[in-house]
Amino acid sequence: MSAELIEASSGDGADDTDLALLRRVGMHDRKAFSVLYTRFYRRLHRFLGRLLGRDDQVGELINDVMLTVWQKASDFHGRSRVSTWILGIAYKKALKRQQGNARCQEDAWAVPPEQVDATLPDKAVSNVELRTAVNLAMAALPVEHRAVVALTFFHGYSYAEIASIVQCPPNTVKTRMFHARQRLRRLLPRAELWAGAKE
Amino acid sequence: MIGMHEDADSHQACWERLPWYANGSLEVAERSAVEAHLSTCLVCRRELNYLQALGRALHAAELGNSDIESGLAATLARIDAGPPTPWARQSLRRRLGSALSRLWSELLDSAPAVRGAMAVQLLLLLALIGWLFLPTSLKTQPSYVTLSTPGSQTAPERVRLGVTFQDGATEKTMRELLTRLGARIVDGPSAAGRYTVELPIPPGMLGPDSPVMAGLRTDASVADAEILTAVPP
Repeated sequence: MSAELIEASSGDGADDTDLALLRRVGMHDRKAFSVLYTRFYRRLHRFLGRLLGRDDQVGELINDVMLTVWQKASDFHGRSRVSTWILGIAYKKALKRQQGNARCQEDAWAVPPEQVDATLPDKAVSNVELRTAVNLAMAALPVEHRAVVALTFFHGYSYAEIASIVQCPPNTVKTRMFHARQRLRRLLPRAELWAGAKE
Repeated sequence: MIGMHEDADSHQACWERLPWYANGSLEVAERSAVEAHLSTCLVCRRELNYLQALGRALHAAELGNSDIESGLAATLARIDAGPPTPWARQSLRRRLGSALSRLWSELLDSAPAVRGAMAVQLLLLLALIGWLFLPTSLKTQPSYVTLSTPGSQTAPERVRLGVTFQDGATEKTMRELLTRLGARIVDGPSAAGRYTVELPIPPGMLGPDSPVMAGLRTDASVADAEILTAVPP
């Protein structure tokens, strides 16, 4: 399993650490907060970046999320993992920011599917082309579907955990993934060529 | 037939769980069921290969990072600036001001069509509030034209009476009286405490000395009763 997927599946050890840190953050321990911020920064950057599709807002949104963590740490009752709770906060803020971007017509991800089809190469020849193709394919997904794809493939969460993060039933998570897979299959039919997949 | 349904169900169940089988997050029982199905289904195995490749492609196209240190410093600065007063403890005036400010910001950010629609809604709301607080006397214009007024309309079907009830009259006694008469209150009470009551009686059958009027005037709950006007059809 890749290093990136370990973050969700390392289970109790990492979560115990996060929980201990969060409890200290609840007592306004700045040092604990700094450690927690550092532990979650990359994860939040990856998740929010995939949802928003623009770097200029990701940093600011991470800070908003972690400020909320600081303010509400004492409200966390341990019914879920700390990472699930924090990513749930991030998801809500990203949705709100995305709605704001759409109103201002600043949605970096508003690419019609027919444009995505036209620009995808048959085979990526460089990392730049690969990144462009994948970003365009993700742009063709509704933000709710993008979230499910990101939380599954980037963060390694189970569908039950994803349901907790995005606050919907597990079957809705599966349905969103079903539709996302259909679209990604159509837009990225030769993923195995780009990724050097083994048959 | 049942076996075919079971195969279709297990195929569907496996198919939809493949992304989470690929990322290793399925529970033991589900993972075993998926593995059992994969051993017999080429379609699902190919789909699994695709999903694993897709996952690698997505990771390979990861977005860049920004500066973690400056982000942390900025967040700590916001923490040092002090927490906002919890909403529940803010004064009503402050909460209202904050809410209106947010609403105004969102209105300014919205598309022109949305702004137009919100403006129309606001005008309608203001008109409704104005109507609700409008004095009753301005809403309706009771006509105190009597039956003897020249030019009265032909073939009226109902009569309106001005009825003033005694101070001690209860809602029950008023209701019983109106029910006996088949009447209904259409206006009032006025500043003088008079109700306009409509009776389903042709005015030709109702005079100042008629039994209905006599009965009203002698009713213990009625202080005064007067014929007002005939209601046109």
